This record gives sequence, structure tokens and C-alpha cells, in this order.
Amino acid sequence: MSMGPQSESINAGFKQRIDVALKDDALQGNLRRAMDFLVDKRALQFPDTSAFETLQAEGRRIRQRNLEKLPELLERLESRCTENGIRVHWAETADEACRIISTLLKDANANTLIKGKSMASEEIALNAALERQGIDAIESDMGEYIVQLDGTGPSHIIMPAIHKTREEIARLFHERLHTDYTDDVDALIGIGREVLRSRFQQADAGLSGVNFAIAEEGALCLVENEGNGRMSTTIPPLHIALCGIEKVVATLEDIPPLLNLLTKSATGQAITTYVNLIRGPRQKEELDGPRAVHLVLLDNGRSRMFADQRLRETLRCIRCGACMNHCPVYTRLGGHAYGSTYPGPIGQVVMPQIEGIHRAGELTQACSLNGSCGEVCPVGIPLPGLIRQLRHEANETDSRSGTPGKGQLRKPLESLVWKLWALVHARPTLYRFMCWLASRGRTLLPRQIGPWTRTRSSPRPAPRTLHDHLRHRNPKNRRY
Amino acid sequence: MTQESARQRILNRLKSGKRQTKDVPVGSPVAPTEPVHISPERTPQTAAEKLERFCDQLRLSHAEVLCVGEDEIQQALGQHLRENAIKNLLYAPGSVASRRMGDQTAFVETRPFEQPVEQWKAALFDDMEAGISHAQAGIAQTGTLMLATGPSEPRTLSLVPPVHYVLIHEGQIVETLAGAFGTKPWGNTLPTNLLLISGPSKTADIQTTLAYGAHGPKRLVVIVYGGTRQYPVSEA
Repeated sequence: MSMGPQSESINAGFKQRIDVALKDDALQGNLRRAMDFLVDKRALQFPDTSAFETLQAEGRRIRQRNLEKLPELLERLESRCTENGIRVHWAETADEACRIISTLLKDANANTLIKGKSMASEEIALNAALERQGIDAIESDMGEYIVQLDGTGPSHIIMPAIHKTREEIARLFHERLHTDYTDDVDALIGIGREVLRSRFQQADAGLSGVNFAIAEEGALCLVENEGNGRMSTTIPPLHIALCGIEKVVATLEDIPPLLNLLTKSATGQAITTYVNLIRGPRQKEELDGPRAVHLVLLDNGRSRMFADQRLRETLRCIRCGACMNHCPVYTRLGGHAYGSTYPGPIGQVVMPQIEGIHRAGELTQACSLNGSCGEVCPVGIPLPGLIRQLRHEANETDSRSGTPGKGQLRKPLESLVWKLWALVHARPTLYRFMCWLASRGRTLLPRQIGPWTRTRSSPRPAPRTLHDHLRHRNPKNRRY
Repeated sequence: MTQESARQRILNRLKSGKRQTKDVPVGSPVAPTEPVHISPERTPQTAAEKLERFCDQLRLSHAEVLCVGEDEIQQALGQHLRENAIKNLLYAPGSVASRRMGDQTAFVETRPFEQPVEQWKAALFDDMEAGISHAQAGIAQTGTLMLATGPSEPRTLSLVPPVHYVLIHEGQIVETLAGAFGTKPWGNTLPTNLLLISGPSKTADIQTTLAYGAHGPKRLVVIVYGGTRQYPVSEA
């Protein structure tokens, strides 16, 4: 399911995927339960809206300040990491990142890779690229491991297997791992633990994502509950960290407020079980830890987003997933319907910018602009506004952004309708005439309007306009 | 060669993007000028309140907490090991934990961590039942232990054995994470891993049902020691 650069366009078949998701009752039940659970847990952590808004404003300020100095911070990160013994690599594209990683693995004669959870690695479709090179990549996050066994991909950026029921996972383990059937969650986790603990020991290398890269310390911060992130970065002799260039923060002082927002927004936890700041490989006196640590800095469209003042706000994201948990569309569809690495509101904003509007711009249509995502975003990304901007870019080429495929989803008839709509609304006489026409001719309007009336009644203008009513009520007021 | 140019191209794009959008003075310090510390839950706390919050939060995260006097560590640890029929205990020679735990050979087989991990990986994973660490700091607000890895605190000691004991002096408990970072107990350079641990390993990846012992320790036992003992010794 991972959508790499070679795969077919995300736009293709989006509507069909939506239909499939909406007809899947088990999925609907699962999503509803899981999203309610996550929403409630988050709400318990932020009981006071104004206190949350204070924290949100601070999170936003910190991320904004970091992004303003992004090139300098990256250079600083590179030099501090190098001093600490972490080798830094730069990848402009997904393909280049995959090449760098497979070269590092080949140079180390590594045939098996154990992976901590990394959405960036999903973004570059790393597993498929490594498979082509004969390198076995095994996911170790329980959710990621489940979807890998299932031959699909994550449907949520924090909880990858959220779309599956316990019984489905029980059958999957029984069929794929040939263990006795059990649908007891503790027993299932126990099975995963046993299998993966041997994988950790055998792996030639480990790969992880990065939650925050701390420029001043040359250190990488990883946030998790399971311990697989620690295992992947500790047990194998080689550790490769893959990090989007926007993940850099200036100093250690930036970590506590951002971490607080991240864990509370993501899973409703005051803190996760493990937070690990990795400063470098094994030192002379040490008895464990990887011999070598590499950091791959991934651009893949991010520097292009950075160049547009408005779209740059996308890069503030700390990947908590709160926007999708609160999205009424995601809650009905689940992540797979989007067909993209990042689903939900943040995916609708990120994917068209990475892949281009001609390949992923349709995603922005799956939004009611209800605004929940923007309200809960811990760093105050104006997601509805960005979705609107990308919808505009899908039709027009007039913005200054560098988003690929701008204007390529333009539908001539729809554009004409909107042009007329704007024309009417900009001219009072014409507007009044059209309103008069609509109210007088209301019975002539069609009763069936395509898909809209399949589940709803057709809207019908009132016999008198609001302006009429107000004029009638107060005849002296000429403003109406 | 291509590496250098990828780096250059990314940085050039960022720098020109920066010029186009916002005026940031060239050569301004990378570190933030005004430090921000906001934490609405933050309230002044006495040492006793901090200790209580620390223990409560850890227990909420499914950790076991024992509060003992400085001279009672050996006995409390030994008793816990025996009661739970733990056969062996891994420790780092020369570590604070190894000094503080005293002689445990009457209760358990003690095993020093003295070989590089590659030489005994299978035994570490398959045979060791418990490991013991010492925390540099504790964070009351979230019930978090801060461990600094190094020669006397191997990374795997707190990760691989299914039971993890951590000793912490009650005087090391601070209110917030920002406070713990501010005191920099690790000195000038960060340790190879600066670990924040808040409970046993867990996951909710199967239908949001919480399960403990995902990949790391299944049990976390925290022994808080110090002179005051204002908090009940036994667990509620």
C-alpha cells in the first residue's frame, strides 16, 4: 500500500476506494471506536481549552522560529552530528534516500534490516526498494509488523493497524506465523515479542525515524511506547536514522514543550514510555550500542514547500495524528482509502505538495472544511486554509507556490460555474435579479441533482429572499 | 560528489526560499533568544509532594514503586527478587547501582555486564531475567526516570531483561522535564543515549487494547531511597 514515487497516481481510483471503505461495516465500527478512544484520551489531557490554546501558541512559536532558521539549523545539526560521530547524508528525492540507505547497507554487508516505526520510510517506499536489492526489511512496531504480515501498509500514522479487528489479527498470526490460534491481546503481543526479539538479535542493521533532531546537541530524539525504537537503534551494529529536513529544532529547551504537545495530542499520554536522545555510536569504553550511526536528511519536496510563505506552515507538523483522529471524513474512510502515505487532513496537505496536484490533488476534495483539524493541531497549522489553498491551486496557476501540477485538475464547466457565481456576487443589481429569478422560479428547479439527491432532498429556494423579508420589516432601511 | 551537490541544492533552495519570504537577520544566533517555558500544570511543590506525585504517576504507568531508607535498599531489593522468584540480576560493575544494591548473592545469581554485547547476545536475550540501573533524575509531573547511558550504564541493561530495577535518590526528583534538562546532570556533553523511561514497555496497537511487555521490560520496579521516607513503603 505504500505509495512510492513509482506507484500509480493517488488520484486514480480515489472515489472507488472511498466506496469500498464506506461499505465495509467492520472497518466503520473499528474506526469509530478507535477514533472516539483517541479523541477522549486527548481531551482528558487538555481539559481546559484556553490552557491548550496557550500551549498551542507556544508550540506554534517554537516551530515557526525553528523553521525561520531552517538552513542554518541544518548546517549546525550536520556539524554537531559529525563531531559526535554521526555521519550525515542528504537526499533530495525519495529515490535518492533509498539509494543512500541501500548503499550504506551493502557497504556494511547487511542483508537484514530491522525497522523502528518511520513514516518517512513509508514515504520513500523503502521496503520495496530494499527488497529489489535483496535486502530483507522487517518492521518491529507491533502495528507496522501486523500490516507488513498482512501485505498492506499503515492506515494511521500513529496506530498503523487501527483498521483491523483483534480477530483479524488473530487469524493473521495463526496463518502467517503458524502459531496456535488465540485472540487474546496479551498472548498476541507475546507472540510478536518472541518473533521480533530474535529478529533484533539477527539483524545486521537497524533503521529508525526521528521525532526531533536537536541542532545544538547533534542528537536525535525518538518517542515511543514499545521499546522497538530503542531495540532497532541499540542492538544491531549499524543504525540508520531517516529524518525529514523539517524535523530539526534548535536546542534541548525546545524539546519539553513540543514533546508535551506531541504525546498528549497523539495518544493522550502525558509522556510516552520511552523518549530516547541519541547522541552517537558506541564509545570506546562502552559495551553496547551500534558501531556506526548515519543520519539521512530527506528533502522530497520540503524545500519547495518552504519557499512559499503560506505552504511553509505545512512543515510545522510534528506528526501526532490528532488531525486525522478528529476528522469526520477520516473517521468514516480510514487511512487506506486515501491511498497515500499520510492520510487525513495532514495527508491532504502534504501529499499534493510532494507528489504534485496532478497525482494527489483529488485528496483535497475529501474535506467538509469543518475546521476540527485546525483546532486540535498542537502547532496550530491552519489545515483547512491550506486545503482550500491547494483546491485553488488545483484549478488555477496564479499562486506563487512551486507546487507541481498546478491548475491540472481544472474542470472547464466547474470553473465556468464558479466564474459566473463570482460575477453575480460582485454586482448588486445582477445579484438581486438572480435572487428574484430563483425565488420566483423555484418550482422550476430540478428535483433530482445527481448524487446529492440520492440520499438527500433537493434544496429549494424560499418564495421570498432574506432581503425581501428585511425590507418588509423595516421599509425605511434602504440597505437591502 | 553527488552527495555534496544534493546538500548544496537543498540548502540553496532553503536559503533562497527564506529570502523570498521573511527577513531574518543574517548571522543571528541559532539558539533561541528568549527561552520559553510554559507549563500551565506547573505548581510549586515541596519535596514530599514531588515524591508523592512521582510515585503516583509511575504507578499509574503500571510501574512498581518501593520507597525505602538509604540503608534498606539491599534488603528491599533482595526481598522483591525472592518474592518474584527472579533467578539472576544483571548489573554494570562500578556503577552507582552496583554499589547501592549491596551484596545480593544470597537472593539471586548476580551477573556483571562486562563483555561487549556481541559476545553474549543470545544469553543476554534468553537467560537474563532482570537488570538494575541508577537514574540520574526523576520527573514528578510525569513519573519519569532519566538514565544516562555510558560504560557503567549499558544501553541494553535497561532494555533487554524482562524485569528492570531502577534505583533513584529521592533528592534527584525534580518537578518538570524542563527542570531536569536545566540541571544537566550529565555534564557538558549528552550521554550516548539520554533515556526517559516512564513505565514498562507497552503497546495499544491491537484494537487500542493496552498490553504490557511489547519489546522492552515487562516490569519496571523503581526503588526510591533517601532519608525521609515520608511515603508509605508498601504498595497500595
